[in-house]
Amino acid sequence: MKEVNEMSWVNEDEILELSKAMATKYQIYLQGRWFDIECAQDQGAIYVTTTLRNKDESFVYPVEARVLAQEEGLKAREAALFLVDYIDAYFEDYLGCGEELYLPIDWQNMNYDAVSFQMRGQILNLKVERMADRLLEVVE
Amino acid sequence: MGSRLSKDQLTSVRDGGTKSLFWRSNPPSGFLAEVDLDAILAVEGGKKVLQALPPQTVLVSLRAKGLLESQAALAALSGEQFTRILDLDLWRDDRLVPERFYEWIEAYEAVSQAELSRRFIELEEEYQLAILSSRVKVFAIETEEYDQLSDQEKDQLNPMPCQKVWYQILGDERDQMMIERLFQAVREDRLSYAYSLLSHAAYQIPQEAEFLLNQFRTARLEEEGFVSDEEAAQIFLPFNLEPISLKWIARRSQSNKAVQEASSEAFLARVLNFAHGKQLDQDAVYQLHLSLLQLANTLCSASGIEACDTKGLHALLEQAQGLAGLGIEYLSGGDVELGLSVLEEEGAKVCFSVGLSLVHGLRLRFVERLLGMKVGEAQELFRLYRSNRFGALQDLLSDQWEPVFGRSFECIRGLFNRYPMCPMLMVEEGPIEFFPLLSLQRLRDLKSYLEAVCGVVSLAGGGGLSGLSQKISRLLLKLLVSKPEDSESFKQMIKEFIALEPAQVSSRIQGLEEKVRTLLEHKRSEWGFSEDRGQELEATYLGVRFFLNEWLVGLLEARKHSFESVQALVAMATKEESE
Repeated sequence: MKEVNEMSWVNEDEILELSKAMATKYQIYLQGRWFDIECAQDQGAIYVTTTLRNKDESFVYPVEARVLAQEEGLKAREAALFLVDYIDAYFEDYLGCGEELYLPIDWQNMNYDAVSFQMRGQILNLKVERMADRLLEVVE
Repeated sequence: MGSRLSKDQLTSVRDGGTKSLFWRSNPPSGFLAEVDLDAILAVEGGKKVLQALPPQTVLVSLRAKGLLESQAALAALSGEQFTRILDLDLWRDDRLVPERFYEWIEAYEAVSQAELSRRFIELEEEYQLAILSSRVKVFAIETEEYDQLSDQEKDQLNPMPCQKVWYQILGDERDQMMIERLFQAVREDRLSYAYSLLSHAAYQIPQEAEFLLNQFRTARLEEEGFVSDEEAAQIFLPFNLEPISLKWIARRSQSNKAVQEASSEAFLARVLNFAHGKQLDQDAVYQLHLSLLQLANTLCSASGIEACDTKGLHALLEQAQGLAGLGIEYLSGGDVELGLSVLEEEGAKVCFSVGLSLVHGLRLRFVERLLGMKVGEAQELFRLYRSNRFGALQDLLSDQWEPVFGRSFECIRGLFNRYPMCPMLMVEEGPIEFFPLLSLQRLRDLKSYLEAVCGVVSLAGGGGLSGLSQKISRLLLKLLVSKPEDSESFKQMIKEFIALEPAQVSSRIQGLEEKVRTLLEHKRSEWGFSEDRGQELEATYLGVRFFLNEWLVGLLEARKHSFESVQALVAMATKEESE
């Protein structure tokens, strides 16, 4: 299974720094929200998820990207940072365009700088989902 | 791909000035506001009106409604207007992104195939070739090159009607589909042109057309105000206010009007409302808005915003309008009618420079006061400011100044932002929001905050940033134990402070304000920006009280814990004492 933030190639401090850098970069758009970044690898595939979320989790937007590092001639660390960068580029467009530029909810092939990778993203309202779960529990 | 989140990149974002502070821009206004193009077309002569609109306005409106839903407007665009719209829409980092043209292919195809063909053919040759360059490969049958293709490769070729010329469209599925749809339209409309286009596109030297096109585009963009980095930097240089101030003081004395009441409302908005209310000639109103848009465009390169970035431009327009309004209010003395004359006669760019120069004066005064109090770090701050390095300046503030000043630091950040802004500081929690300096009242608010910062530094006895925080805590401790002039040891004072009953602490805190005010009045020449400010001084005292609160809360919190906790806050003082 995927490991989360436990790889020597992108350590937790670096990930925290990257999240902070995104928070600084997009501070005028955040309105109390913040970014969490997670990196993981699984059988040669590198996964990066950057999530924009608010405190009560009524807005949670995980943007995921994955790449087969070796096939694309990238080292694991390079691949992870490439994906972090690309997701950052997406958030720049998303936040700059009034949050109306969405990703497909299923994996979509992308290509940048001659690197093929996949991305997906879906805005979730976990607060409402939790309320619905509780309601169903009561009904059942 | 280089790291977009590196320190250098963040510095460059901060250098731009529009994304470095938390602020909410208002809905788009002026020529960046969305307009109903269909409604314009519905009135008599509407097509001419539409064709006279700036390309940015048309692009914003088309994008907001959707290209596919804007067929009537698309058909009504003039050829030159369409080219200028593509100049904005198809480029990123001065490179053409041909894929962005696909949406236009779909939209014009929805109007008609003939319209798609006409639009494409009417574009300048370099545009056509740059869009198709590296996308097509041509094969003539019975040539060696054609014969060497495998059957599978031949299956991927498209024939021209003569069946002697075949072409292959390179790229992914979408590239192939969209280019073929474009070719089909051109082929059906003007077959000979399609042959010519194909041969030129196939044998074009890669990027040659794009390179040439970018030169033409740059020239066109310059006509709309988008200037080079060097020219844009000029607008941030200090401006001699004296001649223009004297000119408008004379005009003010002629108009003989009473001084208007200060307001935080955007002065430019008041002037523009007045212009509309006065039913100014439509052309004159158009020119006013156009000059403001061109001002925002001029600021683009200095702020790292691309011509295509309408959101970024909107933020710039708001900042530009704010500072221009500040300049107009200053020159007109707050008289909106005279303000309209100022805008018409001086132009938006000069008004912006006047507004910025007023802030320049405030920046100078702030640095001067700090240096007077031996805050040596202000020297480096000023050096970066003078060399226009706003990003590095913001980094320096975050690294060195923020840890010392806490929330009061935000007004220093606002002052030294490329587009100066005033923070809303008097809120206890949450992110601090900034506001553009769009009126003299906002500038006065910022001035009061900065004076308050200088007041706090003065109370602490000045000196470098290191140890300043401890000096402020030491002062508060002295004032709370009611022995400001006493030479009693700090250890003794801390003990007395800890021994105070809660009711005594409350009454001491209440008495603090008066003591601070007395001390400030004694040192006014050290921290005050100007003499005889009457009512405005109250705002400064309020600011000092608010800023000191942060240190006071720290002391009271430490008091709950231990002697050592309080001692840690005044560490420098006790160290000095022991020495």
